[in-house]
Amino acid sequence: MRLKAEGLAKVYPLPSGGTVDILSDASLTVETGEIVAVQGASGSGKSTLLALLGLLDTPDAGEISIDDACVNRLPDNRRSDLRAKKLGFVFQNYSLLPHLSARENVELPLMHGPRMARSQARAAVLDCLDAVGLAGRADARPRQLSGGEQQRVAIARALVRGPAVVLADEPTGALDTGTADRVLDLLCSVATEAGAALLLVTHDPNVARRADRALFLRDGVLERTSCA
Amino acid sequence: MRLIRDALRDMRAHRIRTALGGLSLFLALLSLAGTTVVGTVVEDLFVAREEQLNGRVPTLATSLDIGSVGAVPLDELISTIAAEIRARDGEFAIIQEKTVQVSSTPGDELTREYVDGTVSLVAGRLDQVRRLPVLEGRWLDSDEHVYPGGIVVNMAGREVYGGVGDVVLLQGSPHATAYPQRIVGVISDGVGGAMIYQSLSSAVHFQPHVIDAVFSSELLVHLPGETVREVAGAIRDASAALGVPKDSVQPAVKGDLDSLLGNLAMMELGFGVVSGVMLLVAMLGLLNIGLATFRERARELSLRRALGATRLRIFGLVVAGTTLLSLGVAVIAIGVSYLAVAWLTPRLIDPASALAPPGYPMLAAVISLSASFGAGLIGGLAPAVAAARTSPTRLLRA
Ligand SMILES: Nc1ncnc2c1ncn2[C@@H]1O[C@H](COP(=O)(O)OP(=O)(O)OP(=O)(O)O)[C@@H](O)[C@H]1O
Ligand SMILES: [Mg+2]
Repeated sequence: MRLKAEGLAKVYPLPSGGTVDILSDASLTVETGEIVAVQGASGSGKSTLLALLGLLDTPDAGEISIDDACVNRLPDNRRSDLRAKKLGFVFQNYSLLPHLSARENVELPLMHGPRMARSQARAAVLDCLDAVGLAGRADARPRQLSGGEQQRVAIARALVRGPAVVLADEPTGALDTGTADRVLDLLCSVATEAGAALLLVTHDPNVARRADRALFLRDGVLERTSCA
Repeated sequence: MRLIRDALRDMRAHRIRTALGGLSLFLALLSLAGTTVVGTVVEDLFVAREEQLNGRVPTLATSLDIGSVGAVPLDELISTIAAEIRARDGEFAIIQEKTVQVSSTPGDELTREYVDGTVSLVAGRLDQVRRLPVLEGRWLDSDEHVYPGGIVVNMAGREVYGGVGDVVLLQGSPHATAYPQRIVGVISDGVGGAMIYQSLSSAVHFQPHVIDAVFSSELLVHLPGETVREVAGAIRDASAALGVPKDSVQPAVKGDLDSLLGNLAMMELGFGVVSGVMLLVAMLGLLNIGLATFRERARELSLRRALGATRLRIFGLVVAGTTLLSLGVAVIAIGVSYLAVAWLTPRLIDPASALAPPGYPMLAAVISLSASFGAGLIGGLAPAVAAARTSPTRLLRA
């Protein structure tokens, strides 16, 4: 599996009129088993890039392909399906639904995209919760879980469908250093075990060090940095 | 299926939102179902009562003045009318009310006491023309069957004269011979006072002088499913067959059902308008709640989008939510109004009428369900469109 972006550009309108180029010519490739970090200053466009790569948004120029098939010009419902099937997301602020239990939160991606038998779905949910060490807390609500635990639930959710790529936007941004390290370890190991590529978007050099490869986003362009 | 499960889970999670939306819809539906129920039930009661007292719709009455019984023999008179009316699949009754002396202690001649009583002498099938539920025993024999006679009493009559099997003495006038008659049936006629029904031909057989020299009585004719005009025509034809000039006959509908139903319809219309407004308000409420809670939901919806939900799916989720809610509420409202009807109608019925209480009108259920479904669908539409537009990138900058 290869997720490839070439020459991505994204332009946002300014409130004052006029536009601002957040991305101008961003290119990268992520392959199975790789952990790639994208660093950059706040406001440099990291989240914007992640949204494009995650098929949440469409670029104004450039091309995104999965295994050499161009996907950024697909209609919305096809992109939704691709998200369900091939991509997993972990966001900075856990983004668990507060009214659902850990188990139901992990089950959410299975509610969309290709159908899965009930028993199979239940097993997949439990496996993933188990992988992040929370099998015992399956029925807890998010507010009953610590920040680190919530983020582990989010990781389980990202992996439940067996995605090809996990896209994580500041996955440890809201955690204290110790917890952040453990969660990051977990994210890297379960993603690798699940055979998914991992794209980490962060401004934290400590996070970037965990990656096989780190890129730096500056002035709308991705630059290579020295490997950690 | 996944969609419905998802929507139900979503509703359970947002109890307050669900309850608020449901409550106003519930009130509107209760009012709507109530209007329909009251409308049809009261109409049924009115009609039932009118049919019991004055004859099934349409029944027309006219006075039957035939110089004297001698002019046309009674059996011939009856059979002539019967031939005319039954040829049109109708029924008729000839009624003459008389005050008689009645004794319910026929055994002992010395202690025997008489009381004034009212006897309705009837020919034809009064039990077919009026709605007269038989409570005990049976209705009178047919006109050809004059012997051994027998009488039928109403509920008040049973209190005074006794029930089926008891024998009373009937004395047509102070000096006439008293004849024993056995009670063969008890009916409900909606009349509060004691009534005795006796076959006209049988009475004449036992006591030729029981009817006055001038035979003046009322003729009732009912033609099922026909118009008032048709019934009037049938009565004129029957009169003509008896030698009475057609234009001297003035058949008329007895009772006041038309104006009662007219008033009822006006009332129903008024309540219907109120219910409609309530329904509209409830729908706007759903719309408002849907749009107001949209901000709170936006995060959730954009997360669902990121996790692979298509726009259609999000749209469906929101619409399914309000639609399920509205259907659930409708079922509850129908249940409540059903219980209210089951509890109330037996209490609305005059015990003297002994009418069966009308059942729950299916129409009310159908109207409530479809109104609720419509309100839920329309009320959920705009929030669903807004929801479907939620961008999945929202999450990244929360
Ligand atoms: N929908 C939008 N409309 C206009 N401007 C936007 C929009 N989305 C993002 N921006 C702007 O684009 C720039 C990049 O945003 P982005 O969220 O990608 O940055 P980031 O690198 O993720 O920053 P951070 O590290 O703070 O999360 C910001 O200046 C932001 O204000
Ligand atoms: Mg960001």
